[in-house]
Amino acid sequence: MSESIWENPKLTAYVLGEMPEAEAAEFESMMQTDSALAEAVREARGVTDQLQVMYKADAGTTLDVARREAITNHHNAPTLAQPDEFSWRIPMTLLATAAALLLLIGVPVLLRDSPLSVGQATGDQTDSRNRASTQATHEAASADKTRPQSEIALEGDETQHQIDLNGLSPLNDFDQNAPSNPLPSSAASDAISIAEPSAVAKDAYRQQRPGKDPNQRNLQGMGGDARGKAGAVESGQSHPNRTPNPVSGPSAGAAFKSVKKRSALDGQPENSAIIAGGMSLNEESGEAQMMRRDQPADGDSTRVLRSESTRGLMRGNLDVKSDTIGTEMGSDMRLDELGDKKLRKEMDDAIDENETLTQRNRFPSAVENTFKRVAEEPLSTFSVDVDTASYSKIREYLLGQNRRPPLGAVRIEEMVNYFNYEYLPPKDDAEYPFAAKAEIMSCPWNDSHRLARIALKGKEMTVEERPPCNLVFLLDTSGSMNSANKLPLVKEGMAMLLSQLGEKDRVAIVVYAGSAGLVLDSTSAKKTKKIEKALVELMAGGSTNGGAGISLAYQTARDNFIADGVNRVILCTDGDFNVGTTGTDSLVRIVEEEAKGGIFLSVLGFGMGNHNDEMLENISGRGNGNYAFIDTEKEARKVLVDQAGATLVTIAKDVKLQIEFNPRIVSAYRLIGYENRVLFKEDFNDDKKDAGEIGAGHAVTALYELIPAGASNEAMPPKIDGLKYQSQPQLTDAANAGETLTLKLRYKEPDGDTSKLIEFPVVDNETAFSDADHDARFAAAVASFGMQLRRSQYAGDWNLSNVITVAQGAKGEDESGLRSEFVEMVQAASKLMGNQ
Amino acid sequence: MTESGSTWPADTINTLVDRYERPLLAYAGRMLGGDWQGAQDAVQETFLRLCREDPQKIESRVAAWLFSVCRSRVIDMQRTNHSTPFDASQIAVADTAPDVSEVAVGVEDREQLNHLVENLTPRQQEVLRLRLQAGLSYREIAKVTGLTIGNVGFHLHAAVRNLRDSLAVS
Repeated sequence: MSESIWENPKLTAYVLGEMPEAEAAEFESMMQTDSALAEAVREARGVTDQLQVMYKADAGTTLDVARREAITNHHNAPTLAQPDEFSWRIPMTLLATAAALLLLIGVPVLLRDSPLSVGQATGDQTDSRNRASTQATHEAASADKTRPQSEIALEGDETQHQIDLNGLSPLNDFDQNAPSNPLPSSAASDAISIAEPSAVAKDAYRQQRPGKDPNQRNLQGMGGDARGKAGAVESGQSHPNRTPNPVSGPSAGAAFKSVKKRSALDGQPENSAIIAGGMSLNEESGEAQMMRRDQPADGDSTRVLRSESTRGLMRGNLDVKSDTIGTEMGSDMRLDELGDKKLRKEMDDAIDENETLTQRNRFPSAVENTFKRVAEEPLSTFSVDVDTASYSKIREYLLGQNRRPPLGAVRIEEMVNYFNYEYLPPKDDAEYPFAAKAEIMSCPWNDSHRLARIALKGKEMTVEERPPCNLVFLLDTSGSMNSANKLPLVKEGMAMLLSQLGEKDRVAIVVYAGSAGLVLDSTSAKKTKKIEKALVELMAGGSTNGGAGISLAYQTARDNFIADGVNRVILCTDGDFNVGTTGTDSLVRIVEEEAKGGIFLSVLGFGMGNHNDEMLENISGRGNGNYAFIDTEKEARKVLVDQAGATLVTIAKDVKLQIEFNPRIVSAYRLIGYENRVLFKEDFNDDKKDAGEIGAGHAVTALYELIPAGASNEAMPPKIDGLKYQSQPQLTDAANAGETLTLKLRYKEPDGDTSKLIEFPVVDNETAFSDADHDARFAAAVASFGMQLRRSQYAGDWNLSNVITVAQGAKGEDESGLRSEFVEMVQAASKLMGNQ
Repeated sequence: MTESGSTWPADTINTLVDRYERPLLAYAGRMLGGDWQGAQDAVQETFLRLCREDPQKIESRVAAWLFSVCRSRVIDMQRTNHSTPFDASQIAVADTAPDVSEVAVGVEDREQLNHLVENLTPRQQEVLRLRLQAGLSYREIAKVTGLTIGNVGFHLHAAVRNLRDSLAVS
């Protein structure tokens, strides 16, 4: 009898969690009555558990360092060849070939021994080179019997492979501290003489467009390579970008050590290594680059080398343009800080001098946009932001805790966008999924200035129109969630959202605490009883391990992927998010990757302190999602019921705005808020550059304070001197058309990769603030409140009572009562801040 | 610039390598009968192909894609190593190669289990590994191996059952 149970494959399917959930439930009830079945399940589970342990122990090997680098660098290479507009595409290929030939020299040694045992070869370098080159020739000529693939693959991939290995081989040169001329093959030298001019051309290119071109980060890496190679050939060649300084051996030694140390990391237990691995690989490639730059031995200082590698690291791995970041607050700021942490870790490992360098890219968190002169920076570019978390958090501070919110918590754009404005949505047959509008009025807190309001409104979607949803709730059930305004509120919120879902929608629940688990496999939203049961049973306890939970949630979402529907992981947490030893960047990467696979992430924050706010905003932004902070049942209703469409359905992604101001009419401008959303002007047309999403029915408002042309004003930034070698650009005829600005907007369809452009001019109709519609006045009041909370130097002559008066008078219908609540909040702030 | 999205962000590749290199190496290594150098080649090649692949095409099924490519890579390598044409379904035969035992280190019962696993059919070994080491779902395993989902379930169950029987005996 009991053996017949073992005839059924479903037993294993159940144990492995592969059984459809209805069936699993049935199976479970059978287990209740059939003890033999229960025993069989126990046995089968025993087997799989043991197997899992065995396989885990078995899977300790990682790729050789050299191979990993080969992959990283190969991956960079196709991108290098991408920009068509530059004619050195072919030389680049030659360069790569040249490098490959050149590098054949060092490779076999490295391949043969462990790549990290390079040091051994140091003593007898010339000799080993010779041997190596002989071997290279030998190997290229006759296919190795045991490993035929590596030779056969030589043309494409292996080329790259060789290049990367170079990252290690210069160590030899460096340790010996002597320039060497590793050129045994005439073929190689020929190739290099072709390659060299292109390296020079590239340098010229770099100087022309310092750090601003989106392609550049790729080019730069290769540029570095090229210089390295060229330098190796002609060791006397110097580079214009470099400062001559004495070479310092010890630091390179330290760098080498740290490579070793990291490769040891690879052997660590899977969990941390998976996360840490990403970092270490990046760091290694960064260091390899650093070492490559060491190669020319033409008198570079370690300082320069390090800063170059720093930049390489950031640019290559983090999309950060540190060349320019000092002058502009980019959207990359947070990333930059991440990069900085990463970098600092590396620096601590490798070198402990030169602290100043690592601190160069750190930013205070409460930086404000400043006025920009139109003559100098006519373009203002930023990404939309529909998050509202900052507002509800401020409300929690002021009304809940009777405390003043910290300056860093105040994001003015999120406050302004919290409110529902009566912007007209696009017509059903409209070409674009949202309507855009802009108007200009007088600036209430500074009489001589103007205030421009730019409004976007996403198309609205009824419940019937909404595509089917595949939702996976990732619930934090750690001990810290065990308070009235956390887990119970999560449950309440979920119940509210469920009421909005229909039978075509599916819901799954994954929890994470000490361990991650699937509490509810994907279930039709109609089975409310079942879902509610799962919700009721949720308990808080244990510590948080978000990393495992997030993987499981994405896996569940993938397994139930709805091709034309909404696929979304909704993370509910108080922000005590522990992802292991590595911090947020690996998490960000996972989230980003999944977003590209069509699974977006939304974050609902509950009753948290301020500490992880930044991370949650970061991952939701990267995951094409939104971030809301739910402090009350009312807020849950707003986010999950009233704006369910906006929360669930993304109608446009990577929405970017670029405004060109007409210098004839505007002399300076200031974007109010959006500090962490500011983009470089080049990013606007770069479809690879991530930006914010707009959900169905979402409204986005941006405010600019403008200083009209001719108005002399102390708020104006100091003028820079005229250029000696260039003249001012001439005004075009269009400048005389009376337009104040031109609004350009780019967005992509939720599943698209090519952006569409919308463009229209805006004329100032000389509207007075008091004549503007109540939405405009209310938005201005909210912005002013934000500025005062931040103690902004641009808050003008308004105080909080001005805010209260204007907001009172601009409440409009206020069905939801949110605007009245705002007034209450300002009153509370007014008491706290001593009425000013 | 016009071909946006046709290349992988560097970080994504790094993440993918970090996440899958271990299970891929173990998988390829076993299929190649303990030729770890060959496994390194196969896995490297797999990732290099990944770099060349259009991200959009495979992003939603990266795991299955990686194992499929690695698998066919391994099969190709087997073909090259053996001058006779190879039947794909027979490929994991090499698993029973003697030198495997050198690799198996660890606790006694792990070694015993390891030994028992080696007595399973190649197919059973393969699906077990894909499921319990690489964490692929039945559906993903079906894609990689070309079996039907039901067949995957069957092989897995047969494997678990066999092991349970053998463990009960010993």
